[in-house]
Amino acid sequence: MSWKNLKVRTLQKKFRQGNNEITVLKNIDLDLDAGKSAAILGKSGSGKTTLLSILAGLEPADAGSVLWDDTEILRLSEDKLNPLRSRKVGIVFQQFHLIPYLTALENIELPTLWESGGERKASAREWLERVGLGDRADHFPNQLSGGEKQRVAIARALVNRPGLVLADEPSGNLDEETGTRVMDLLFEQCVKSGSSLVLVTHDQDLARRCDHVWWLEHGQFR
Amino acid sequence: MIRALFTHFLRSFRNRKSWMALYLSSSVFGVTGLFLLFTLKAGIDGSLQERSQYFLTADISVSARRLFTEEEKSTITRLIAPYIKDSSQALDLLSMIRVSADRSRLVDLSGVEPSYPLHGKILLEGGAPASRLRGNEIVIDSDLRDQLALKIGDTVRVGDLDWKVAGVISEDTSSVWKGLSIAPSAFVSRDFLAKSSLIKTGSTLTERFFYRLKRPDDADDVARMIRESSQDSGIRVTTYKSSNEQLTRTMDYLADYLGLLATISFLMAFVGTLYLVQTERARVRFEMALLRTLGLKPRSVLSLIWIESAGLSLLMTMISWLLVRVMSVPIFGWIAHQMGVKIQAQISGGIFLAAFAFSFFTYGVSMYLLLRRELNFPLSSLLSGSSGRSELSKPRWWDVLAGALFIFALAIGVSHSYRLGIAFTAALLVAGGFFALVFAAICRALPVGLNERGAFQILALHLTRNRLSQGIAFGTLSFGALLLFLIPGLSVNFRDELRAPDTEGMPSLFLFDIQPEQVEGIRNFLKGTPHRFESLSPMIRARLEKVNGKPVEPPKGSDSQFKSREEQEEERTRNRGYNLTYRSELFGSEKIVRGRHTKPLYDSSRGELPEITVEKKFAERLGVGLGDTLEFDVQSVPITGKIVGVRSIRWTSFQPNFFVQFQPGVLEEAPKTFLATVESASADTELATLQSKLIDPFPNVSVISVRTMISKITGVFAQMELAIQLSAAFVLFSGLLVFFSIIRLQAADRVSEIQLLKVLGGSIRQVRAIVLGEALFIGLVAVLLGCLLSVVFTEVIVQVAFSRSAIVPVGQLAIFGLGAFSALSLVSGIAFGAALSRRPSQLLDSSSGQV
Ligand SMILES: Nc1ncnc2c1ncn2[C@@H]1O[C@H](COP(=O)(O)OP(=O)(O)OP(=O)(O)O)[C@@H](O)[C@H]1O
Ligand SMILES: [Mg+2]
Repeated sequence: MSWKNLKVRTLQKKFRQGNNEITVLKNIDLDLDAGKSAAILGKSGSGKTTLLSILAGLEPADAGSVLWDDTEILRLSEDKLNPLRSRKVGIVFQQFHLIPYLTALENIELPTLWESGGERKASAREWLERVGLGDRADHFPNQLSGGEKQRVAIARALVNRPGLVLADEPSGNLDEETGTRVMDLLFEQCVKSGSSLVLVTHDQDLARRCDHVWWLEHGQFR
Repeated sequence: MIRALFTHFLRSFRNRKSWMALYLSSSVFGVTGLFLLFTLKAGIDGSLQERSQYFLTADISVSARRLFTEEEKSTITRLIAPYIKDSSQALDLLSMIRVSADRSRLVDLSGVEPSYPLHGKILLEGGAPASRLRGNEIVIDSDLRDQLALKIGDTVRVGDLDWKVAGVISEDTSSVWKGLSIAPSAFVSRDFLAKSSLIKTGSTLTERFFYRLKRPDDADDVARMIRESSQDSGIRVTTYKSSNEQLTRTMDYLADYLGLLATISFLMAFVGTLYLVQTERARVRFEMALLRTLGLKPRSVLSLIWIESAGLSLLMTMISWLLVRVMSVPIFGWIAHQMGVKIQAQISGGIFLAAFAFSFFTYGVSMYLLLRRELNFPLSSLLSGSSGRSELSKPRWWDVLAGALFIFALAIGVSHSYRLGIAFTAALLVAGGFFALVFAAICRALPVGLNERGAFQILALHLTRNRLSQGIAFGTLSFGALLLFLIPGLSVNFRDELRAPDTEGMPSLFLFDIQPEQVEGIRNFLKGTPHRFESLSPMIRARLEKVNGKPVEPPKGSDSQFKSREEQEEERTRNRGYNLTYRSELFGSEKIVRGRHTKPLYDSSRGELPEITVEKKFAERLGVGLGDTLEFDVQSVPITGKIVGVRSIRWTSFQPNFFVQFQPGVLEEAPKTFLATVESASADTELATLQSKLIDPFPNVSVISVRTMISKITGVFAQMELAIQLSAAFVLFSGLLVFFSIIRLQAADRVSEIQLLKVLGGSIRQVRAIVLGEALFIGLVAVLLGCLLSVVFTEVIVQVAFSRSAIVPVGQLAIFGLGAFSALSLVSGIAFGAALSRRPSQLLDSSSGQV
């Protein structure tokens, strides 16, 4: 893995609705080195999810730049961006987003399918063991509990050994205890594989475990 | 409570606009088809009832194909005197009318009294009634004037008499089938005709008495009285109610055809609805469970489905009603033009209700079949968060049975035929079973599991693990393709059957009413010419009396509204007199399918019954087979025969063919006439000359030009074909709408998945290969299967209808196939293209549901 850093400069994002224009992100600068973790905190509606989408290359921005390892991604075409993302970035969704007709194992395998060769990948089965679901390989998502689903999602995000993991309230849909266990897992696995982690959360205790804490307010870091 | 439910329905309708729009657009044409059919049928029935008195020209008529005796006349007159208001009598015969050596034509000549017609009117150009005729005046149909280039004042010859053309008929309310009858009509004075030499025994003469009743409703009772009093079963009593049987039957067949098409388009809509409804199961499940937690009883939840069904059906019926209002004007106008029948396009409340009921039950039945089990969905699963989509549960055998019964009832209701209903349902089940088998085989053959390169495996997994919903989509597409491909196959075969004349040595002229003593004369007459005298067949009038010694019952006077086609056919069979013949060898147009041909000569000394052979369909209708006996009344002499063979006949050969053939040596002494054909390679003009020359020495022989008739029938068929194609296009259109809805929903269903695949590293090309590849794969297999099965079905239909193998129009099928596949690809391309080009950011939006 050859991830060096994530760099964001003067990022701006507005949403237009009819004549109404809301500026969600005014001027964001950030740097995150390899292997470090950061938590994004902020009130509801402050733009955390929006920021994460832009970092993940899922949403365009109005101005500024996002650099993955010095590669500007905001102006990449989708066809260039998608393979790049699957190699360098893993995403954990609040809603899990597992594909219902694929088993736990197959869901984890998904990101490894698109390209052959390249760096050696840890096998999906190994990851399934690592997240403690070795005996659930053939279960479909609707046969798994919420916490189990999120563990599958974490394994899927990490299976390609990405340099950067982005997670939007990964424990938001889980009870406190399960949430804690899932977050422990996420931290542990990111450290093990040396991935950087950007985490959106409301949980201050969780944020304290990160190397950086970014407070989002009025479209800027406080 | 009801109000709350209704409010809920309105809200859910508003929130699901695009789904509703898809549902309405895919189903509305099916319902419109049924609606149109009902309206058409009601229109035909209504206007026929009104016009049937005109058609008969009276309330009741008594006729025989001979002159009545004085005794018969006085009996009938005495019997019905108390009931009648007016009466009239007529003599009808088919005869040749001749202008010059090369201008002659068969006419339906009626000798009428000035009081004719008792109902309706027959007017000449200029407005004078046609029946005020003096001396040798004749008034003629305008077709006849055009064909023979006649004008008023000309002299024409019928039989050996000269007639003066006194007028041309411009309006005739009794002629419903103008353009389809073999001979145009002409009227002369009855008194003059009766005294003329044209009235000879043996010619096709019919004497008729017409009565107008004081109370037309008595017609059936009066008819029964006359029937009971008359000795001769050859005397026909017709009431205005039964007079238009022929017309009604033909129109019914048209309606049947339309009905089947309507059923097909309706079925497409039904299958489409099934598909659409099953995409809704997650929503319904969630919503139902939620409503139950909010205090609604399961029964009220069910009634919500029915309220929804009723609301949607009402909307759909109203849209269909508007469509029918718009479409019925040109369609009914066209039918009126073709058939000479005026049809009022009235949409009654009953029809509206029926259309409503149909759509109500389609939606209701689909909902019931698919969502029944969702209703008992355990409430706890709401909390455990597994309310996401899941695969449909497998259909149970009674679901299939319920669906089949629903379709069966629909098919019978629409086609009025048990046989058609059974055949239709069976065909659907066979097709459905076949599609299911192929789909299962495909699923089994596809590799399971993800190994190396992703795209193909994900495609395979999506297909095999969503077997039911993908199967429904596949089935709908396959059915659509099957119907699509049936159309060119069938129309090519029908057209070919009617084009057969050139290739199959069809006769040029058809002669009938040849008296026995004229046979040799005609043979000699033709000897020196290039024309050949062929297929000479004796014809003996008879009436079927007994089957296996049991008297044939007169038709039951069943008054029920619903009479299946089979019941109607049986009535006709039992009611009818038959023409018998005998021949030592079979004609080229007939073939023994069971048993054997009769032995060459009957030997009465051996004490056995004479042998007979019967036509296949005739035997089926009568329920008889080899070894059964039939007793006929031939001019009051009972003659019994034993069936030794069953024949199939190619009726389109235009050779003299008969339902019943006796062994030679039995009927030779009975009074008879002969039929024959003339085969000739000569040009039309030469044939016309021959036709005229033949009539000179043999004035009572009637000649039909088969060539002219064929071109006429072909013309009618071409128009029929237009109707067939138009309705087929309608079905195709509604089918395409269903296709479109299915594909759009498939695309909509997979939007989140598509985004996810992209986020997890799939390039647009790869993801497109997965989703579009699957849609196109399903489409391609469906098109191929539909094509294959349509060839099989065409073969079966052609075998049953024409007893021969079907022609497979490979080129046309290929073009249709390419067209269908391109249309599918286009629609899929657009629908999935839109989904593919979406931004994946919605995945992070916590308000979007789980994939
Ligand atoms: N597609 C969109 N169109 C218009 N406005 C949007 C869109 N997406 C987000 N917004 C608005 O942008 C602002 C930031 O939204 P965002 O989802 O990033 O908030 P958040 O910080 O993630 O909130 P929460 O903690 O509730 O998840 C909100 O005011 C939201 O209404
Ligand atoms: Mg958010």
